[in-house]
Amino acid sequence: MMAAAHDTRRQSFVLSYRNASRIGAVVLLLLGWRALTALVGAAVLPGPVETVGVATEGIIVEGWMLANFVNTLAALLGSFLVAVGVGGVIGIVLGSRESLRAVFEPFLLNTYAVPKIILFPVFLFIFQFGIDQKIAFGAFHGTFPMAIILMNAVREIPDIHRDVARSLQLSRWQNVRYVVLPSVLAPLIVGLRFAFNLSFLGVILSELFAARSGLGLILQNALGSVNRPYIMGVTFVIVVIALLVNFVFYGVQRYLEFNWGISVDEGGM
Amino acid sequence: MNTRHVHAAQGLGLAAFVSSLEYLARSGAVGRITLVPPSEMGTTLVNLLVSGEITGDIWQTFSVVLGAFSLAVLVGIPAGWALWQSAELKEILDPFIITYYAIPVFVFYPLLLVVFGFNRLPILLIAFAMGVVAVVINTANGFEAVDQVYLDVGRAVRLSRYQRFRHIALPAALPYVFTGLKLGFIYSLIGVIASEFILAGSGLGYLVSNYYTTFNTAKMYAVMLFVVIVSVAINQTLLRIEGRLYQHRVNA
Repeated sequence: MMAAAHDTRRQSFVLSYRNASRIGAVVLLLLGWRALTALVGAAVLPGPVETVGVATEGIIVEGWMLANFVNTLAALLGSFLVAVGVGGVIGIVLGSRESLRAVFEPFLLNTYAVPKIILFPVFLFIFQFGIDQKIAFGAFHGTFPMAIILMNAVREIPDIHRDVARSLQLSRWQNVRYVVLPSVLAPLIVGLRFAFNLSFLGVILSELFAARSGLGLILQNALGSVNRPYIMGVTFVIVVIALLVNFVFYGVQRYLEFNWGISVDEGGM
Repeated sequence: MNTRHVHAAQGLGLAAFVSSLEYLARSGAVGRITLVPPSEMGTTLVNLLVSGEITGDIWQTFSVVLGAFSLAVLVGIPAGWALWQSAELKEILDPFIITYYAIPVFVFYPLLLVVFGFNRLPILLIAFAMGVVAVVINTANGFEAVDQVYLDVGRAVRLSRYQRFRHIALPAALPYVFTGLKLGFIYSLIGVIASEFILAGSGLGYLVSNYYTTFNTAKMYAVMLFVVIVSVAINQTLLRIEGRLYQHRVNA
């Protein structure tokens, strides 16, 4: 008992010490940014306070960013769902069929490595300039990591689990629900996160190059007129969206790690 | 299904894809502004390469990729090693690494352009920032995968700190480190091409976007084909070396 109590106390001390270092690092980063602003002038690089001010003004107070913000989020949600659906099906099918995997895996891995932006004109030819094109291009980015991660996860399911499922004569759905899903849960979270991050990149890229709306479009316009506060404000909003969503994924991941003992390996992506 | 069958199926699939594009373009089902026959993409590419018209841009793109990749390796491997050395440091920095991974680094390109000006530096920085994280994480993972027993044996036979690193930790971590290098190179390449495509005055990414906006469809597809072929060739080579390194580790 004594030892246990002692351990807890020590652990909480270490935790707070770590958190203090982390908070210190964040404060240092902000101070560094502020110092840089002081050094080159607020006209060249707007500071943290001004940046947050521009972001809130754009979304809440004046609302010049609001419609584009909503538009980007809608395209992002659409492309994420398509990437998860298409990538998920491809991953499960290729993961469970050796022969199909042998044929298609190289195409999957190599397409992941091609700078997909280079194929952007093809998407413009097919989908024109609307939100469909943003969704398609975002999904094109998100599908591959989802498919690759899930394929590897399904392939790693122990043979004995499959044998048991077969001997119990599970239906296809029961097989997915009770055998495949529990053992791919952890990689699935990682796959969802990568699918989200790359879909977001795809949507922003397509808005930066050719779009009639979206955060990328305001960013492009601000770049054209060298409007530094707007560039900082929009960049800030995009980063905050990415961070918030990623923290949710990490929350789920940590939950699985602590409560289910599932650890997640992220190497190789 | 043996290897020969697999290759035959892949070849057939590719051939079917290319010939259907050829048919779509030649039959006039899709207009010339939208699609040129793949055979014409090929001949246009050969002409561009032979005439030297795109040599400068190829050089531009790959010199920046190599520069960014070298920087990512110089910074990333020592950083990954340091994370392995200090468990406490790794624990403290973990949320920051996670956060960094989550940030769409590319959105900083416009900001870097207005801060550093319209030159190659913003492109280099973006490509470095996209490549370095994979090197750091995979290097740290690699050293972590080193079996403690081997290090203990090294200590027991009184190897020096350097000898333990050189003869035990490094060979064991090498395949993982290589995975980091592979991803670092690919992400740097993606960063450079994407930056050039969005806003630049030269480079392969710029060529494709420029040929697109000037309706030079044949040349656009030719350069597109070139980028796809080169990046697939690089990836395929790196995948082979990587596979062999992991194989070696299993056999050893």
